[in-house]
Formats: sequence, C-alpha cells, structure tokens
Amino acid sequence: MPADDRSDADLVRRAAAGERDAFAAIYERYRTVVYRFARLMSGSPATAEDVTQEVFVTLIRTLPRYEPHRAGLLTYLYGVARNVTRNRLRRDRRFVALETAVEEKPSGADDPCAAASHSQQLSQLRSSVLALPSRYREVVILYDIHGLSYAETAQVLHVPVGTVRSRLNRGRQMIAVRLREAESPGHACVAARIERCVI
Amino acid sequence: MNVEQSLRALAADDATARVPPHVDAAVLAAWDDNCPEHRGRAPAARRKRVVLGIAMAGAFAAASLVAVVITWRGGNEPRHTLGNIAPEKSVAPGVPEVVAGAIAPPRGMEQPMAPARARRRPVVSPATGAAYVLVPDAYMDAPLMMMRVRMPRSAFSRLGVPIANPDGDGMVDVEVLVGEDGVARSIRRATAVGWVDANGH
Repeated sequence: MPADDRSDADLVRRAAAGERDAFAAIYERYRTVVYRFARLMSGSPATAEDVTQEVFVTLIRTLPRYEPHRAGLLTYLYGVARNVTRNRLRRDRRFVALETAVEEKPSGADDPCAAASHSQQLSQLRSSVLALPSRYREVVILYDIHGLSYAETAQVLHVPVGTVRSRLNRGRQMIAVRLREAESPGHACVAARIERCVI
Repeated sequence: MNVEQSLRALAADDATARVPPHVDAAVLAAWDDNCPEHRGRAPAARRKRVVLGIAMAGAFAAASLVAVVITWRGGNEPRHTLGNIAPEKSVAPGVPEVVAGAIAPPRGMEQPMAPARARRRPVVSPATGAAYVLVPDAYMDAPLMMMRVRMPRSAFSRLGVPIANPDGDGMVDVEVLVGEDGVARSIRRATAVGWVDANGH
C-alpha cells in the first residue's frame, strides 16, 4: 500500500467533512501506535483491541471539534488512549483476571535455548513495566518504548518536562529493582519449580 | 543488560504487534454508522421530519375542523347538490342549453323540491346574457361560491375564448365564481372532475 503523504490536518479536515478515505488513512497511520500503547499499558491484547476501537470511535465523534492548532493528532490520540485505558483499568480492577497464556511468537533464532532466554527476559520486562504505577508506566512506555521526546511526552501527559524526567528516572529504577529480584536465586528456584509443575 | 537496553529490546519486540483485522472492521463500521457528515445531517433531517409532521397534523386538524363545520351546517340547512338542480332553459335566445342541464339527474330520479328558501332561480350573465348556472337561494348567503359546471365549447367561443381540446362531446368543464348577487365573477377551465348525481354516483 503506498504511503499516504497527506498531512494530518488535511486528513482530519477531510474526515470531518465526511470523507471515509481520509478517516481510513488516519486509522491506518495510527492504529498500531494506539494498539501498542494500550497493550503495554493494560498487558492484555483483548483490552488493547477494545481500547483501540474506542479511541477511534471517540475520534469519529470528536472530529468536528478537534482543533489541530492545540495538539497534533498523534498527541491527541495518545491522550484519548491514555484516558480510555485508565478508565478501563479502573473499571476492571473489580475483577480478578484469569491467567492468560502469553503470546509466544516462534523465534527465528538458531539457538532455541537463547531464544527461550530472550523470551523469558521480555516476559519479565513486560511484567515489570506492568507492575509500575500508571503515572510511571505511561512515561516509560511513551519515552523509552514508543520513542517520544520529553516535550511530546509532557504534552501527552499534560505535565511539565521536569516531571517527565523525574517520573522516567523513578520508573526505570523500579524496573531495575524488579528485574534484579527476578534474577535472584530464590525467584529462579520458584520459577523452576513452577515450570516443572507445568510440564 | 541494563534497563534502557532491556526497554529497547522490548520496544523492538513490541513493534511487531499488529492490530487484528476484526478491530479494523469494527472501527470502519463505526465510521459508517457515525461519520460526521451523517451526524451533521441527522438533526436537520429530524427537524425536517418534525416540521413535516407538525404541518401534516395541522393540515389534518384544519381538514377535520372544516369537515365538522360542513357537517354541522349541512344538518341545519337543506342539502343541495348540483344533481338536484333541474335544467333550466336559457334566457337568451340562441344560446345553447344551460350547462346545469348537463349534470341533471336522470328522469325519474329527481329529488323532491327544496324548501322555498332554496328556491332555484336562473342567474344571467351580464356579459353574455346566457343563463349558464343556477344558484340555490341557500347558497346565496355566501359572498362567493365556486360552481363547477360543464359548458359547451361554443359558449366560450362567444366569450372570445376558444377551447382547442374539448371533451368528446364538445363540452368543457369550468369553475365559476358566483357572487352573492348571482353574478359570475370569474370563470376558468377546470380539469375533469367526477360529477356526482343526486344518488351519489
């Protein structure tokens, strides 16, 4: 599919006028970003799907009121995704989640042992990110994983840049602590025991 | 591996995530249902429907009121139809038969004579001197009244209004506004109407 070089503002204007193709181009451009953000924030692909759908439905409803000069479309979508995800997590707090199987993708590595180790590390890292309080988690996701700048992260979160820096630093520290705990011998022993039970 | 490197590895792994196709379908379906253009039109369309509904309700109410008034008046006054007006002879010599004769009921089906108040009398057109319609007295209370009659084409021709396409029998349907004094105020050609005789046929 050829890359759509139209600007966000142009696409938004056309979509607000009722052009389906313009909205489809917006969706095509940003759906993955929104989905990935929601998946990292929630830790659940199913929740991420719901959030992605809700974010773009919200965009459909708010297109006529969207003001491009106040925020870029990506920033706006991040903001909506953040609010929707937080609401969803707050609502789902009442429920106890069943253990869901983690999506394991087949690895192309030649060494199965290294691939398993890498996969386990990623799984631990995801768990560590997910265990962060949301104000740290969202900063880590936006800056470290999605690659936004400090200023962009601050704009999405409506906080000063200094706050972004401090939260990022604090979040990384917390992840490091968790990863160290996971690598400790006692934790590895528990993990090994569980693995044996599973097998 | 430090935290930043781990997070970069996580970002690389996360970049391969793809939105399931059913989400795409759901979002685009939501667009089709709620696109701004449709929503923009919806209130206007609703307003239009509401206005149309109000107008129709008003028209229905007005029609009902008129029907009630007509029914009430019909109960207090003698009922006359064009069908129970007997044909009259033309007043002016040489003028064709009066139009009322064209809508006279068949012989033997005449209605009994109306009360004296509704006595028939010929109305003579001052323009042609031709009696072309009869107006019962009961109808003379109204300042103006519309009468639908059939006239021979020749009567129009005398008025200087040739009719190119009369009916097969050479007659023309016309509507005449008759004043309180019995003088025709205006006349125009009418589209064909269903004539009702005394029996309602």
